[in-house]
Amino acid sequence: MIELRPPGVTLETKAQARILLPNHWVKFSDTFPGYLKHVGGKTMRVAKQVQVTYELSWILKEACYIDVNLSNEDTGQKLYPGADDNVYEMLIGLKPGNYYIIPYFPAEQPLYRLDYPTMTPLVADAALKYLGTVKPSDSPYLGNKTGFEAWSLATFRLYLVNELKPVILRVVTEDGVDYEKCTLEFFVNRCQMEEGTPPDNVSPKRIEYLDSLKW
Amino acid sequence: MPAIKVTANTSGLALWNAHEHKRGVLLGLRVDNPSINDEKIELIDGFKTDASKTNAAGAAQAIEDFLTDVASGKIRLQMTVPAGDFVSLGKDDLREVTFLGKSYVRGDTTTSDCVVTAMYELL
Repeated sequence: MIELRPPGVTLETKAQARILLPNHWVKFSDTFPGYLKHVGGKTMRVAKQVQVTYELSWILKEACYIDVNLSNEDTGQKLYPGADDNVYEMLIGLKPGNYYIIPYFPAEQPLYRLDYPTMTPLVADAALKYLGTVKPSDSPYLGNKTGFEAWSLATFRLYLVNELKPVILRVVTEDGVDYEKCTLEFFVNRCQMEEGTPPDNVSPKRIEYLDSLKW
Repeated sequence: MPAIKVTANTSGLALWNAHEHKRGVLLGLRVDNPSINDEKIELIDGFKTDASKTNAAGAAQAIEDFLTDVASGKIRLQMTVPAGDFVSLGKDDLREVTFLGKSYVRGDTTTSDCVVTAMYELL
C-alpha cells in the first residue's frame, strides 16, 4: 500500500496516531500475490514496534537521475524487512531542493499514471517528466526541526513486507540547477506482527497491494 | 553557530568538511584586508557527483570530481577587498550561498594580513 495525500484533502477532527503503534491492527488485502502468502489476506496485530531513521543523499548533475532500489537485493539499499512477521511502515521525507522522485513498482512500471496510453512519467519529456512525481513540497522533511516534529508533514508512506518486489525511487534533478544535493530521509516504523482476530470494536487499517494503484 | 577564521592562501584553506546529508549555509562573512594590496577572495565548493543517467537519453553520466583539486571547485562567492579595507556580509546578503560539499577560501595572494572569518550552519 502507498499513501500520498496532498495537504488539505482531509480535515482531521480528532487526534489519531500517524503511525502504527502496539496493539494496532492491520488487514492485508486479498490481492497480495501468492509469493506474499505470509501476509496476503491476513489480519495482524502490532506486537511491538521501534522507529528507526535513516538518510540517503546523492549529488547529481542537472537534468540527470538515479534509480534507488529500496529492497534487500544486492544492488538495493536493504530497507526491506528480513522476516515474514515484520512489516516496515516507511515515511519518506524529502529535504528541500530542485529535484523530485518518481516511484516505480516494480522497475519501469510507474505507480502513478493516467488513463491515456501516453500519460505516463517520462523524464526525457518536458511535460511528462512531472507526471506523478513527488516533490519536496509534497512530502517535506523539515531538517531544521528535531524528532517526530521533523516528520510531521511527510506524507509519502510505504508499507513494506518481506520478499516484496523492489520499490524503485527515481530521483530526478531539475534542468538549469547546475548541481543538486538530493537527500531522502527515511522514518522506518519497524513493526513485529502477530496474526489474530481483532476485537469487535476495532477496524483494522487496510493495507492494499501496491499493484492496486495501477489499473 | 560555528565560526572559523583563516587567512588568504592561493592553495585554498578549508572552512568546513562536507556533511554526507547536509548543505553548508553561510550566515556571516567578514574579510579584513589591512595589507597593502587588494585581495581577491573566492569561496569554493568542493564535491564529487554520484554516477547517474541523463534525463534526455538515459546515457550514463560520469562521476565529476570538484573536490580533489581545489581550483576545480565551484566558486560560490567572489569578491575583491581593497587594500586597507574590509567587507562584512550578513545573513541576508548570503541567503542563497550554499555549499553541497567541502568549502574552501582561496585568495589571489598568500598573506597572513588578510583574514577571513566565516559563520556557518549545516542544514
